[in-house]
Amino acid sequence: MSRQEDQNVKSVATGRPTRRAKIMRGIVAPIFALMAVTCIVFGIINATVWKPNPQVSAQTTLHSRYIVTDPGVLELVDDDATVTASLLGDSTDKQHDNEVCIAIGSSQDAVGWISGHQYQRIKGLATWSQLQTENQQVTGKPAAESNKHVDFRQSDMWQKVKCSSKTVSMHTGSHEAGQVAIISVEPSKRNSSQRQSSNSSSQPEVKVQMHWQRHKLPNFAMPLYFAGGLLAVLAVLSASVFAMEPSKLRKKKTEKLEEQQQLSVAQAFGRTFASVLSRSKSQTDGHRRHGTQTAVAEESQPKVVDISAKNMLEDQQPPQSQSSEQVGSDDPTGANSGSLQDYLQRFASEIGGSSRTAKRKRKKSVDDVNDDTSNASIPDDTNQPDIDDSTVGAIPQHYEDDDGSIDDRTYFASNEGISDETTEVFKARERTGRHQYIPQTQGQDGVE
Amino acid sequence: MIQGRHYKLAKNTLMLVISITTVLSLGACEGQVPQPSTRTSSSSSSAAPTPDLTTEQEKKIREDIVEVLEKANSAKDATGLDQRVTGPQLTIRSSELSIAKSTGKLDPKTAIPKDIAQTVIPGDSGWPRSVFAITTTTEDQQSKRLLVMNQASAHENYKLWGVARLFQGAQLPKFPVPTIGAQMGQTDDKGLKATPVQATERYADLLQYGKNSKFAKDFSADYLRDSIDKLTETVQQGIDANKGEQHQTFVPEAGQIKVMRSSEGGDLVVAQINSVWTRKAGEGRESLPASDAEKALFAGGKPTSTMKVTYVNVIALYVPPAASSQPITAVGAERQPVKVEAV
Repeated sequence: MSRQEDQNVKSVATGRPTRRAKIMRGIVAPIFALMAVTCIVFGIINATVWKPNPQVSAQTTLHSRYIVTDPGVLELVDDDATVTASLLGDSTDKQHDNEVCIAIGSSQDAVGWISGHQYQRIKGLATWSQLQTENQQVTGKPAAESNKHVDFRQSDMWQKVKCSSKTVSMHTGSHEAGQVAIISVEPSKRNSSQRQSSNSSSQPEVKVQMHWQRHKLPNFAMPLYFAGGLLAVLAVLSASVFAMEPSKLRKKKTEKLEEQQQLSVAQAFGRTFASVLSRSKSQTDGHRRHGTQTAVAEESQPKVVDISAKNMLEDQQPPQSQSSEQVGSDDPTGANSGSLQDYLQRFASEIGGSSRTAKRKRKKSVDDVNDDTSNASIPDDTNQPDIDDSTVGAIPQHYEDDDGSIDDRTYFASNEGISDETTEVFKARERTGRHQYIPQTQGQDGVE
Repeated sequence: MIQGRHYKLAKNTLMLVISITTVLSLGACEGQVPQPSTRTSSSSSSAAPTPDLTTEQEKKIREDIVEVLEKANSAKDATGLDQRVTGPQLTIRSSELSIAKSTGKLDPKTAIPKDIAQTVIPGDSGWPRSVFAITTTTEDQQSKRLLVMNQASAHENYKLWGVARLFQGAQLPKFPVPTIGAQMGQTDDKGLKATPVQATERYADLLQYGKNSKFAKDFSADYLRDSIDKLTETVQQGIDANKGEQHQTFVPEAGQIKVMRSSEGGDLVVAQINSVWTRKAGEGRESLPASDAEKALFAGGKPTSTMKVTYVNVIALYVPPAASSQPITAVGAERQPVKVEAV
């Protein structure tokens, strides 16, 4: 790698084109340019000589008395189709003097007409010149001959019907969607009395042709023009930008990237700390040190509060305390945090043995926090709830000592009156009946 | 090895070949063959049934029917009627024509206007199918007619099956517009005040027993019952005068019933009820035809003391849903004597 770089540096220094530039300009760019030209040329050819044929004609030859198109086939290529049915076979055969008829009707009517018979389905286009067909049997019994029955051409069910002795052609024209064409070989009127050909076992040979005139032609030239343009752009780029030394390009990129990374790392840390530190008022000044550092970051980023990592005690601090953090000045709630600690210690001593452990735990946690602040780690919230557990038995004592009434809020009125506005989360726990100690924050003197 | 100036030429040719082969894959061809889209599948399982006929088709059918009727009217001959007329209407119309032949002119009630006020076309995919059409009032301000046209099977054409003259002021239920497609009913439709077959039987009972029928409260008063009652009373006076007796029996014709479901949940039922009116004159008198029509049908017959007249009645009932507060209402009827015999 360094050898290549040396070469590049040398080339740049001497002004001769580098190897990369040679490849790009000499081979890649001409290939792209040629491809672009070819695309454009083919596009022009597609638009003129190779233009798709507006006439689409597909046909097939079937041996069946009844032929029905599937719904949707008539409007397959365009709205207006021309269906042509021709009766093939020996026309001199007088016995089978038949007519071929085409009718347009609904699919259920067509199938109802030929119920019990076999018929050929025209399913669509197999290729652009061949129809796709399938043999099908309609369930049911063939209708018994009856003089009540009408001829195919006289049925009320068809929208249009046309008959002819040899070849019949019909424009479907505008019709309801889902209509089908039914082709039937019927005995001609002359032979209606004999009705020989109504025998369904006779399978006359019928050639069916469907023809469409396309009004909306697919445009194959446009994608080629587009591709040609794209390739031309690529050719130009490969001759200019891609031929340039990547080192020239890369440097700008990396600088920007590093800057961004630096900033983002600082911001990320700042955000994490800000949300936590702002709560930990009772923590020592160690936190505040970091608080100032992250203050700038904090101001520009929204505070992310992780509810699950709540520190119960810290949350008791009023919102004002947070702003104090930013300024880095004396914590106006310093008194609070101080008083809180005082209270805790007093509480612990009054409780006795259990409280001693609590105090110990409390002190320990405080110490832990002190130790941790230097590393700017997030204090362990789980330290705090220990107090709750340990003072369960103690609270009723206090209540009775004071005024015999059980009222969490008023008990601690002497403690600088602590508002319970910030204890929303703990209201639920309040009501569990466990008489947990809930430290109140400053705000209202003697909350009643 | 290619040397010198040939090198450049060779290189260019190679480039050209590479380019062309790359582009040729996008080369000109017709593209893929289109496949039929089955978005418009008119299978019977589709949520919105397509009507069996378009309004143009229905109009053409009706015009063909009227043409056949008019041909028969002008010839006063029923031959050729069965091409487009069937069921009770065939019987009634044949009778009307034979009356017209003897009287020389057709009864005005036989007029069927060419224009319609409303048509109800079902979307059902099977057979038989019936189409209901309500005509306009006639030229001489007679009431509208309810036409029932029936296609018995796929290989048959629609034929006029029944005609009922609607009563003045009768309220017909609502039906979906012909572009949507209505739904035919079954003769044993549930959820109504009575099944269509039951409703017809009860009405026949009501016609026969009048106020004493146990179904009297199921039905509201209607014009047909009123007119039959009046006619019976008139005849009764004559019969009382000569100490004779009379009675009528009404029996629905099995299988001759057409039902169409309305948008309101009820059914419009058109059914054939045959009735036989037996009039016996006492004191050795002769029982004679009671109306011009009977007279024309009886023409040339030898009256005896008992006269038996067979009527074909076509009645149109609206059977509301079971939860409705309305009783079953007859909205139209046609009544025609078809046979008069002296027994």
